[in-house]
Amino acid sequence: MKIAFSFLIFLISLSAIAQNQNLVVTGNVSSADENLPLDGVVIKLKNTNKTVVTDAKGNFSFKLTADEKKSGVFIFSYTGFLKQETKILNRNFINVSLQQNLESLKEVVVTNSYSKPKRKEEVVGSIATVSAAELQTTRPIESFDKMLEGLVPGLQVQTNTELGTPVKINIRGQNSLSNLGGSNVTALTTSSQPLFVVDGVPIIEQRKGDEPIAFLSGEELLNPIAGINPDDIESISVLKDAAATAIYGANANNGVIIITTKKGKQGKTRLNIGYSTGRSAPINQVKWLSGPQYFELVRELYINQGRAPFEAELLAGSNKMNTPWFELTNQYGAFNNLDFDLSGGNENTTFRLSASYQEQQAMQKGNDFKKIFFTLRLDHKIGSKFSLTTKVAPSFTNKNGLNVYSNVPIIPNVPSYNADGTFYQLSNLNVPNPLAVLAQNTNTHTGGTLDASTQLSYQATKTLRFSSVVGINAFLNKQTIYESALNATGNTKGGSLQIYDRQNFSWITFHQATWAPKIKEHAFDVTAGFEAQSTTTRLLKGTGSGFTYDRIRELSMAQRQLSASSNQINSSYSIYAQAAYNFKSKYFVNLTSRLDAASIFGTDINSTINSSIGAGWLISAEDLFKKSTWIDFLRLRVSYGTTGNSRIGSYQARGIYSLTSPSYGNLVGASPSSAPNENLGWEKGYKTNIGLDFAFGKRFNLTLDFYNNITDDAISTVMVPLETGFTGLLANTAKMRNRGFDAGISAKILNKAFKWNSTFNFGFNRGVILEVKNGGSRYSTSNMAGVLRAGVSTTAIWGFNFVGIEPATGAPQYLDNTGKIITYDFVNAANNAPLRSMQNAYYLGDRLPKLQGGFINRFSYKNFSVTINIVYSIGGKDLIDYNLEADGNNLTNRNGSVNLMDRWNTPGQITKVGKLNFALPIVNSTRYLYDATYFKIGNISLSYELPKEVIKKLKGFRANLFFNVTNVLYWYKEKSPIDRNGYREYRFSSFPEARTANTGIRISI
Amino acid sequence: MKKLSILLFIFFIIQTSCKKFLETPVLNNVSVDDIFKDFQSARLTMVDMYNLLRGTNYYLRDMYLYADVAGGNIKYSRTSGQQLFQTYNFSNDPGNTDMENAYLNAYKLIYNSNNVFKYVGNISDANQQQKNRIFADAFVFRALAHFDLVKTFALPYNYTANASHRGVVLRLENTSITTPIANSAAVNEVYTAILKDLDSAVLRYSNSTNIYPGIAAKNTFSADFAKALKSRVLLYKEDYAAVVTTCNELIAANTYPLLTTSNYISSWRGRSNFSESIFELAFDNIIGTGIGNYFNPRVSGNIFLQYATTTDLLSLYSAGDIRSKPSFFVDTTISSVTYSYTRKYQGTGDSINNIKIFRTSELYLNRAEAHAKIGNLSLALADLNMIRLRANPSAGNFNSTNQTEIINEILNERRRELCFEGHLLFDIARNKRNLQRVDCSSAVCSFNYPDNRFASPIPVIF
Repeated sequence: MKIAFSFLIFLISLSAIAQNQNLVVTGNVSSADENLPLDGVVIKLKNTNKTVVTDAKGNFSFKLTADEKKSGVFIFSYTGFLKQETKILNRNFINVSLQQNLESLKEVVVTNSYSKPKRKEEVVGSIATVSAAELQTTRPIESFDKMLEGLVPGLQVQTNTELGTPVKINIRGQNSLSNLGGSNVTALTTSSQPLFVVDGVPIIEQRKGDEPIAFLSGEELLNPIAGINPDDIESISVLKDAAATAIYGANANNGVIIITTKKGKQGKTRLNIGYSTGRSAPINQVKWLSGPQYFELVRELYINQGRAPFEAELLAGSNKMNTPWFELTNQYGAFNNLDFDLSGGNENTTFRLSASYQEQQAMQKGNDFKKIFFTLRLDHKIGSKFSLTTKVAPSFTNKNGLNVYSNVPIIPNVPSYNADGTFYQLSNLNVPNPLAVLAQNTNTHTGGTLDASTQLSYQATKTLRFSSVVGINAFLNKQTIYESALNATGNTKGGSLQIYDRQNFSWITFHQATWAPKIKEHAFDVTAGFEAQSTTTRLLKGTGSGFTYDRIRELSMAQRQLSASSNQINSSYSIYAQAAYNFKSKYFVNLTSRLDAASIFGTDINSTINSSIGAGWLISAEDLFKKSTWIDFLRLRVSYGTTGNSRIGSYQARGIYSLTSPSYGNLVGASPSSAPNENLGWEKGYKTNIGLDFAFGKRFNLTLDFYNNITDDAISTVMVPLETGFTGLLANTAKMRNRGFDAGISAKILNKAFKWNSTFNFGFNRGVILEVKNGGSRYSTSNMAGVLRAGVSTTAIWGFNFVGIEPATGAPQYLDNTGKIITYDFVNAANNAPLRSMQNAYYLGDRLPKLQGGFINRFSYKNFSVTINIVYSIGGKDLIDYNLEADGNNLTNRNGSVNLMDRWNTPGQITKVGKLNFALPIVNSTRYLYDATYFKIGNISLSYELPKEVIKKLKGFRANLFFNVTNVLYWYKEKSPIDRNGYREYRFSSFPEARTANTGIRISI
Repeated sequence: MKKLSILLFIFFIIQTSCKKFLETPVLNNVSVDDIFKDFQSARLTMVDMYNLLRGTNYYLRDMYLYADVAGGNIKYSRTSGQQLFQTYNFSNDPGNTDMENAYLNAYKLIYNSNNVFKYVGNISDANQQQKNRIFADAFVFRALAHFDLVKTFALPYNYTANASHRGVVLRLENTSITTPIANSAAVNEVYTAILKDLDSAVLRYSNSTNIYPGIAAKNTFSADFAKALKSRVLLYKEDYAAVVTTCNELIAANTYPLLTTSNYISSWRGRSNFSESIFELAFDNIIGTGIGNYFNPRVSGNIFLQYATTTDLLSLYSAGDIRSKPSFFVDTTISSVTYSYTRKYQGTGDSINNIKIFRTSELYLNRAEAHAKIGNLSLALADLNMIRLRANPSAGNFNSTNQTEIINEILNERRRELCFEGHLLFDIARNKRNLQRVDCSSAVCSFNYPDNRFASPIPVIF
């Protein structure tokens, strides 16, 4: 019996095995358009928990029961592709090809770091997104903020030419007042930068304000944004209106930029490796005076000052020597980038690990920038209700920035070396020999950033979800400046060493609940939460002088040492809530409110509440339009709300004393650094937005937004009478408005074998100060040429009209605001006072463009593609550095523009450059004002993808070859005269822009 | 309902813990009411006022050398990067002047002094002697700043008969920053306020205690300095009898005995205090750039070197005068031109010179001038010859019975003795002399008294 029973069991199991063998369904999944195998596709048996994943060749095998095989349904899902359901119908082998979801990246929009990504139709705020592909990270640009130039409607990037330093970003114009100067005010104005948030963690902006005096000068701040690896970015969302930004409350007035990083993909572990290398060369250099030209002018200058010719010749130096300082201190730049990433995982856990090395050698000798990035991101599901995301992203920076002395162009008729091979000393010119600086000094930054966050969420019920985020952001930097005793930078101190150690640690945590029920046709999505954050800035400075041994550049080697340290903490907490409601997925309403309380106002803890309301109407979902074949999407959005700007130094309302040490007698001192202004309060932004999204003909996409942004109680430094003991103080001085519209149009113009995709965007903005409040003075120093006055923009340029050079005397002539011509008085400079008084000046133009944007075209044919980025800016004005062309004012100690050769030197001569003289020029006149209208081909990139057949043969191995050229071509409205300099050259003066070409390869295994 | 109360309770807990969370400790920047809360902090503001005095935009250069640059003791040995160059050329204008920061700093001293008067009375952790010392110093700071302002930015006291001409803005309390600033006071009002502050200071010093540990007595203000400064103010005010009384008291006490012939030159070296100094600004903890950098040609590559001596001054010294070339000047040749620099300030690096604000020699010269102008000629000659013979024992007494001649000689002696110490232009102007600069390469080398250029234009920021 026992045996019989065992046999029966055996038979049953045998048959079970046989049955199982019969009930395995195998298959292959590939992409429909490329016909390439898809790796990592999740196949789920409908209404069960059974899943399998395809392998690298796209194959899968699924064990099923007979019932399942007969009537079951497979669901195929893969990121970036449309979900597909396929009935099994007793088949043993199933071939499936998935359709790519072309709009997949566009469909889902990251609206802020507190909500899950939303579907496009749910968004009521004005949000522009940039995907990883649109960011074009193969371009030889060191940080993603610079890459955004021309990509986002209404976002302007004010480029600079120095590596690794912050760039200024304006979203819909400048929403804070410009600083009108004042040397004794340490904290300037509120920040005009947008808020950057990476995976929920704000990046600390590096700005000075609360430091002790010892730290206010000397240290150079780096760009914290450069700590984000552009290759890690999945998408960028630029939040522009109140409905989008109000959830960031008191930090949102300048807009918010949300960065979402890439996560790992399910399936076989995949490796991407990229390498690119390039060279750069300067474009549009300033033409400086040659040695003999310089001699001729300086000689004439001294004669004009009343010296005898022989004396003037003696003072003017050599008439033959011609040292090409620019060529001696510049070279070809180099760019190298190596990156790799590894990603994979299963349905419960995915990971992505990336590392990247970037090295950029500037054209200026002695200046370079190196970065190493690491990122590890893990996404894990614990059971069906918990999910956990953790990201750790450290980066390391090394920057050398020795070549700053070429900022002052060195005079050309002196030698660079003495006859004995030592460096020629330029000590009589107040400048060191830049070659000696390059050889003997050090100016190095080493540091890094750490960006890490963990998010835990718990889906309590279908409609209720709790989540908590803890994140840290750290910025560490050590700058070492060594000025050798061997040259003029350090010889009075016997060599000097300065070390600045900056540590910024910030943490943030927020905890929230989201309730998203759908009751019949009413859908709700309500989030409420609590947030706390704190930023600590610790500074340490050590200086030493008296180095008897030049080679060891450490403080311990200095005969005299001094040190200083500082510690600042800023804390804030916030309570926020957001409620979204829609009816029939047609009518959308969104309410947001946030309370912020911050420590920056001292013991008078001050809090502010910002709120917004937004509404959307999906017109295309109305029955009338549902049948339309050509309207794909039509939606109207309206929003209104308030935002704030809390980024201002501490205790500003109460008057400040700054501690200084060592002060007199080696004791600690406290010096008055700002006057009390009991009326100072928070800035308030009121933003209105009306937007339209329109997609039609399956090819065209249009987004148009009209906005009206008011900033009330805008804070700025106002000049106060010197008799108060101060030059200026912070006050709520103005009500200002930015009004305009921005638009983005994208089109698939050709979509056959030859493809042409085109994106055009523009931002039209007019800024104006509506009202000036609280008295105070409203003019900047004449060098800054700014003004705070109702009726013009905060970025207005204020000055005099340059009439010309009086042919009889060679004196420059200007118009004042009464229309009177004032001739410059060489002899009695006091008579020129009316021209230095800003009160006699008038509006000359606006620094910000009226219209700016980009035009991106992508052409592809078979495996080749070409992308051309065009960036344009229309209607902005720029006041160049007057020192370049100052009628000889500074000519004895610096070289000047070759335009000075056209100086007046004979009575009756008609020219644009006045008689050479020592007198100070009028700096804020139309003479130095240029129209900054330009078009530029910012980048051309060529790319070649390995053909499909080859990829198939190589079992999924992909490769992409690319070639980029940046700053290809400029067209400026203002033409430069032949053999002379114009705006093209003066724009970046001593540090010209680079044209960089790079080529590289990306492979994927 | 129960749920709601729990929610409210949680909210309350969060709120209270958050208040604590936002109270960050006192860091680098302290608000005005915080710094004057206790004695220890209030004292920091006093320390910093001394520090401000020794800055480039006060006595290290601008306020100190102004009168020498404009008056004719100084010429430049550089052709670029000259400092106080507009002052030298008399080309300052209100919108653009070398003296803007000095002007601002004077009012910064006054701002802080006024804060002291407003808040220090309420400090509870200081005794009356400590408070008196803070008040006394603040009175001197305010008087000194107003005096520096009125002598630099206004015409001399005797420009009008009753000194009713335009002086400078008088700030005896801090007004709200949004209140318009009062107009300039008349010169006589400013002088009255200065003298009142100095008298208040002397009174407070009489019952006070030292509050600056580790600082030598003559490196901070004192009753004696307040009196000495008063003698200078009175001299400018032409209150000669009072000058004599004030000087008599200080000279008789002999607390600050004159340097002797033998230790005169060596005393100017290094950074130690003079025996005859009543107040000097100490630089003992500063290494780097000091006043010597403007005058010391032996530091290689010294980009500050510029203030050479005019032959106008060099030719005033008689043979054998220890203050003449070569014993008290150092020569150097730049681009085949020989320049002389005073040996008063040759300290650089770790031996920066202290800056002398008041020394006994000036008391003798102030008293000599006062006597001479009253008509006490023999007393005037006695004081003059004290200074004259110390510098040149072989020169013999200066003798004359002619009042003008004696006054002229006293003024020459002032120039010889007090050159590069901030007196020359003021001495010329208040004696209604003409400015005559011979060894001069400015567009404006000379002008006659009266002339508005004897007052530096008041800086204005628009």
